[in-house]
This record gives sequence, structure tokens and C-alpha cells, in this order.
Amino acid sequence: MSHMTERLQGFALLLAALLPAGASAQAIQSATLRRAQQAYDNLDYRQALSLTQASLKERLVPTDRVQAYQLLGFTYSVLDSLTRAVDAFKQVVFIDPERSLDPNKVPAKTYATFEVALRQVLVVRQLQVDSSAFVAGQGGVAIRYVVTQPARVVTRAVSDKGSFLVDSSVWNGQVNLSWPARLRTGDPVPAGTYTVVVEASIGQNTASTSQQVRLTLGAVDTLPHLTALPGYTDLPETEIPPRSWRPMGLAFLYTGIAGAGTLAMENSALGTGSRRELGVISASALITGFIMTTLKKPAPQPAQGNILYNRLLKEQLVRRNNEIASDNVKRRQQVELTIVPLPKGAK
Amino acid sequence: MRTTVFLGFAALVIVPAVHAQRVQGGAQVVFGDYREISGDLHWRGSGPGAWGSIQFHKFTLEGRLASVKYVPVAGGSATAGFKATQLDGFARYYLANHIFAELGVTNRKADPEFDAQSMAAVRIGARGSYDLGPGASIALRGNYLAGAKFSGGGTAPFAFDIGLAVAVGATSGRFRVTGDYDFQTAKRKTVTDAPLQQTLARIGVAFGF
Repeated sequence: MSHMTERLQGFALLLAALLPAGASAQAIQSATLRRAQQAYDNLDYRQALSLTQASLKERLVPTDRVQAYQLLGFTYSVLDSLTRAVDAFKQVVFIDPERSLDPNKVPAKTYATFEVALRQVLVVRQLQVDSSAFVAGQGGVAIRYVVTQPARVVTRAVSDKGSFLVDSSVWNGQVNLSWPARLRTGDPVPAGTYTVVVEASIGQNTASTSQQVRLTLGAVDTLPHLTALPGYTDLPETEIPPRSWRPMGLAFLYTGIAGAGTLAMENSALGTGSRRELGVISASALITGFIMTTLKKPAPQPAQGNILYNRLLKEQLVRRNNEIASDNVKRRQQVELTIVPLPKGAK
Repeated sequence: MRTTVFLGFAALVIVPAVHAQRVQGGAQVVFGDYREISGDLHWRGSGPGAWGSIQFHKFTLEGRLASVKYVPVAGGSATAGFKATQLDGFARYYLANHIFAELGVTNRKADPEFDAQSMAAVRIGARGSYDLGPGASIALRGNYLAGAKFSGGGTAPFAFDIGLAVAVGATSGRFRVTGDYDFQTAKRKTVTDAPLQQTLARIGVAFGF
């Protein structure tokens, strides 16, 4: 059992030795802290501990101070002095609330110690405001952050034009909010540069973070009118019927009636009537009927089904364009808000 | 007189054309056969003709003019020829299934006046018209000639007119070759029976827009 414990300790020491390599690569200004880091890298934890404590008595720049407390936390963690490690990590989080450890690169014990320290202090971290564009009243910009302890959290958007409350609730852990960026009247907030400020408080204990965003107002794009319904085309409104003997039959019928009528009404007292006129016109009619039956394509006839289909299509198109027109009227009255987070230090 | 008739006809065709749905007009060569009283009084002839029509939706107005110079047929008892000027007017209304109701007048004047009978009557009848194919149509007409009047007097309780028409041309209807057959008979009675009968064939071209 003791043999196994020794092996685990050795493995943990090896991991711990690998860890600060990244940290030591960072530019450390304090010579004492640099030596402490080297001692840690050389697995000389006692020396690292005393040198780190010494460096903390010096006047350190903020990055060195964070680095010193983190090195202290790592060292105490390796030396199994977990309470002191937690205290050291708490100092890290106080100074740099955004600081986090990669669980894949640090020993599990150190990471767990850091997480314990995180839960013992009140900080608001990882504030993130998404880039977004939306129509006023029809959406909002997503705001996310993490509160490490249950606390009353007030989120505001502050600019030179005023302070707008986004949310005020008791939160713990990951928080997801949506800010519609509207005034009480329903109008969008004025354009400009805003600072999203998140303030958490438990009694006298407070923590805050902020993120600058730029908010611009613009017109909403209108939709173009349609000339055709997508996926639908007009059908031909006439169709050529199949060839039939109807023209020939009608020519026979009409000439027959004309001939029979002439014969029937001829006055016998006037002798046999002239057949010349009837013959010429009847022959012309029969030839025309024959040509129309056999040689010429039938005349196109209205296709009622297609006409109805096209009419429906036109009605649908008109209805859709009316909808687009009324939608565009609304869109012309709407305002599009575009919110872009600004990098730290930007104006 | 002739000029007045022509101008009236032209006005009938052209003036309403601006608002008309369809206007057609044409020139024709007319061949005729005319008999009176008996088979011996028999003339044949030919001459120019013209026609025009205006269509307003279901309503159509049509006018026809024919001037035929008749000459006696050899072997008959007629000794002199005459010139017949016939003016026909039609008003049609489309009923259904290619059938039109028709109302009109016919007026034929003989010159010299007493060489043949002049005649005038009111037309009452129907017309069937059918499209045989692209640009081709055929029509059949039957008119009762009511209230027939004759220059020589007498009445005709039975007078009838039969017509057959065929037209072939461009699908658009702007140009057509036309052929019309008209058979007109009147059982005229004076002191005795004095029937008369005319057959006309009109062949021509027509333009429409």
C-alpha cells in the first residue's frame, strides 16, 4: 500500500513539475519570483515556497502578483497543504477573476483546490455579450456570465445617455440573459457605446465586471415584390385538340342544308334554278372543310383547367405581394439594432 | 344617290371603328341569276360588291352592297337588260352554341325601273357560324322576308332568303378570301302568281382588324 502511495506521489510530482513550464514562460519581472518559479520547475518546493513568500513582500506588478499567488497555490497543493492552497488561489481570483485553470494541464488535486477557492469567493466572471442584429421588439442580445456564489446580481447597460436596467435577480453559476434594448415606451434605446455592468452582492460582499458594446440603429430591409411564385409556372391557356372530322362534317351539313333549302324553295314556275352560284360556293366550303380536317392543325382551344390554374396562381401571387407590401409597411416603421462587443480598452 | 349610299355605308363601317371590338370589310365580285314570273324571263349578270361589319361583343352590324348588271339569257322572252343594285343590312345578336338571331332589311332596285321588279323587305331569321379551323369559318343563314314590297305592286306572303358563306385566311383574321351564296325567292301575287327568284354568288377578299 505504501509502495503504491509512493508511486502516486511520484506521478503527481511529475505532473506538477510539468505544469509551471507554461507559467515560467510568461514574462516575470520580479527576480525573486523568477527564482521561485525555477525552484518550482526543479521540484524544489521548499525553496519555491520561501522565494514566493519573499516575492510577495516586494512591490510587484499585478501580473507578477497573480503569478506569485498562483505559484503559491500550486506549491501548497503539491505539498498537500490544501487550506493554504485554497487561500492562495482565492487571492488569485480576487486579483484576476477571469483566471481559470485547464483541467487537462494541471493535476486534478490542484484543479479541485482552485475550484474550491472559486466557490469561496464572490466574483462575476466570463462576461460575454454576443454580437447580434435584431428588429426592435423582436429579439434581444444574449448576455452570459458566471456568478461563483448565490448573490443578488444587477445587470445594467450604462452610457452617457443613461443607465438601463437589464436584469436584477438572485443568480448562481452560469447566467443567460437576453436584453431587448428597449425603453419602457417600446422605443429602442439610443445608439451609442454602452458598458454592460454586472454587479453581484451578498451583504457587504460585492463583485462586478463589465463589457463595452457598440449599439447602432438602422432601417430594416424591405422584401422585394414577386413576379412569380417560386416553383410554380403558368400553364398554356390554349391546347390543340385532337384532329377530328367535325370541320368536314359541318361543311357537308351546311352546304347540304343550303342546297336542300334552295331546292325546296325553288319556284317550279320559274323552271330549274341556276346551280352555278350554289355549286361554286358549296365546292369552296367542302374543299375548305376537307383541308381543315386533313391538312391543317386544329385551332387551339381554351384549356379551362389551365386557365383556372393560372388564375389561382395569379391570385396567390397578388395575395403574396399584398402580404409583402403590408409587411414592408411594418418593416419601414421598424428599427434594426446591431450590437457589437468592443475589445477591452476600445472607445 | 349611289354616292350617298356609299358614303353612308363607309360611315357605318369607319366611324364606330374606334371603339369597335372587331371591324371587317371587303370587296367582292358578284355573279347573279334572276327570274321573274316564268322561266322565260331569265337574266344573268355580274358586277362589283362590297361589305362591311362591326362587332361589339355579342352584337354585330353588317351591310352589303351589290351592283349586278343583268343581261337576258339567250332563248328567253326578256329583251332588255337592267342593273340591279341591292343593299342588305343585318343586325345580329349571339345567342349560344354558334347561333345568332338576325334582323335586317333587303332592298333591290332595278334600273330601268320597269324592266324588272324592285323589291324591299324586312329580314327575320337566324344564322349559324362555325370555325372550321385556324382562319376558316362557315356560316349558314335563313331569313324570312317579311312585308315584301314590289315596284310593280302585289304581295308575297312567302318570301325567303337562304345564305351560305365560307371564309379562309390568316389565323389572325386580318386577311380572308370570302365566298357567299344567296338564294332569294318570293311567291309574289298580283292578280295572278308572279314569283321572282334571285341567286347570287359573291367571291372576294376581306380585311379585318
